[in-house]
Amino acid sequence: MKRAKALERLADEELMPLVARKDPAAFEVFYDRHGAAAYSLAYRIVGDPTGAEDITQEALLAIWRSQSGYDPARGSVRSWVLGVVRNRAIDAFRRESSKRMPKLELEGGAELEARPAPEQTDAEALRRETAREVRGVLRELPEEQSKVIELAFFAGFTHSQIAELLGLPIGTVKGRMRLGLEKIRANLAEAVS
Amino acid sequence: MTADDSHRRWSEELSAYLLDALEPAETEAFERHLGGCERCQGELRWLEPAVDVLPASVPQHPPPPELRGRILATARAEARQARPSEPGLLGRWRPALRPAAALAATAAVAAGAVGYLIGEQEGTQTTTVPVTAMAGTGVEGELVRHGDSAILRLEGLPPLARRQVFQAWLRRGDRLEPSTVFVPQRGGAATAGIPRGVEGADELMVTRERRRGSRRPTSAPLLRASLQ
Repeated sequence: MKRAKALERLADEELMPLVARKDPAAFEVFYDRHGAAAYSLAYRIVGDPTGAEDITQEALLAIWRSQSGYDPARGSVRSWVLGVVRNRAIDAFRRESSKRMPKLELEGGAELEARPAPEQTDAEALRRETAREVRGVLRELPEEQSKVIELAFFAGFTHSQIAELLGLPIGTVKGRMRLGLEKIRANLAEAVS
Repeated sequence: MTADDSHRRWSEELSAYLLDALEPAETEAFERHLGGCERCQGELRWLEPAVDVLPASVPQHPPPPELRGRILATARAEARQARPSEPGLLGRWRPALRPAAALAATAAVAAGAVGYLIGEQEGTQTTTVPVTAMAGTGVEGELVRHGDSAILRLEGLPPLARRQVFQAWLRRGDRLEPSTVFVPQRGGAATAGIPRGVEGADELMVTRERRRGSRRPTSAPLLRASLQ
């Protein structure tokens, strides 16, 4: 019990070497910190709970089994984990949903407010606050910019596929991606300052 | 073309690159340019946080509690398996077992490891199927099957080209269903879960595919395992 408490106090970056050494108690703490975000991202991409479960399982166990482990140079643990989940979810989306059009709308925060996950730590509370801010930033983007970003990031389409889907020149798609990301970035900088 | 013109051309690719929306050949070309262009590196560092926050923007759904149980049970089983010198499971049993019994014990432990795939299916039989590698590949392994799911354990997999993965396929008659995508560890060993679809399939195959997997195989199978 004492060890479990001690593990819970570790920062993500301190926890990951223990996970890499196949410490199941450390992996349990890791799951409790990142499992819900991983599942939510997988759910957003594949659009069904069963598929989201499969992807979350595969991704988190791949991390557990990984020999190389987490590299701090890749950014935060949370970004790394969600990157692994996204890649697998996009793989699944592409393989199994070739005929399904992705959801294009940016989803609001109502569902989040209705079904909150427990805020177990200050770090988790901060992440959720950041998520709320980011959703606000995304909602402020012109639809034409948010749409191309959504199609690329959450549905895994290339710029040429997006151009074809939307009937736009590739240059226009690239331009809208750039403008959208620039606005998100500028808003993030404002939020920090 | 001036240096500014050249940079502008690549700068237009930057956002698509960050969003993983370039074609593979475009990505390789962009990365070659990026390695020697400080302006693009700077722009990339500036824009990267905008992409990093996108996953946080999705509505949060609490995962089902069973998912936690399955994932952590698998991790615990694999941790025990990875430490055979500790009391329990194979470490305690192996010396007394003949090869056939040892194989069965391995299958039983592996079945524990894939508990997350199979849930609590009382009475469902676990079977271990040998893998038949294509001539010259040197791949060895087994498929531990339990109900509708299985775990594939392989050794001696050949190296992959950049942006390639291995992909498992389930064959039913003349129909091929795409399954798990995986990459081996250094040394060519890999463990891949087949979460569902094993029941009723005739055969499992593994091919090399592009990074995101394919809807149809694009290369000859490296190995097969009969499921009949």
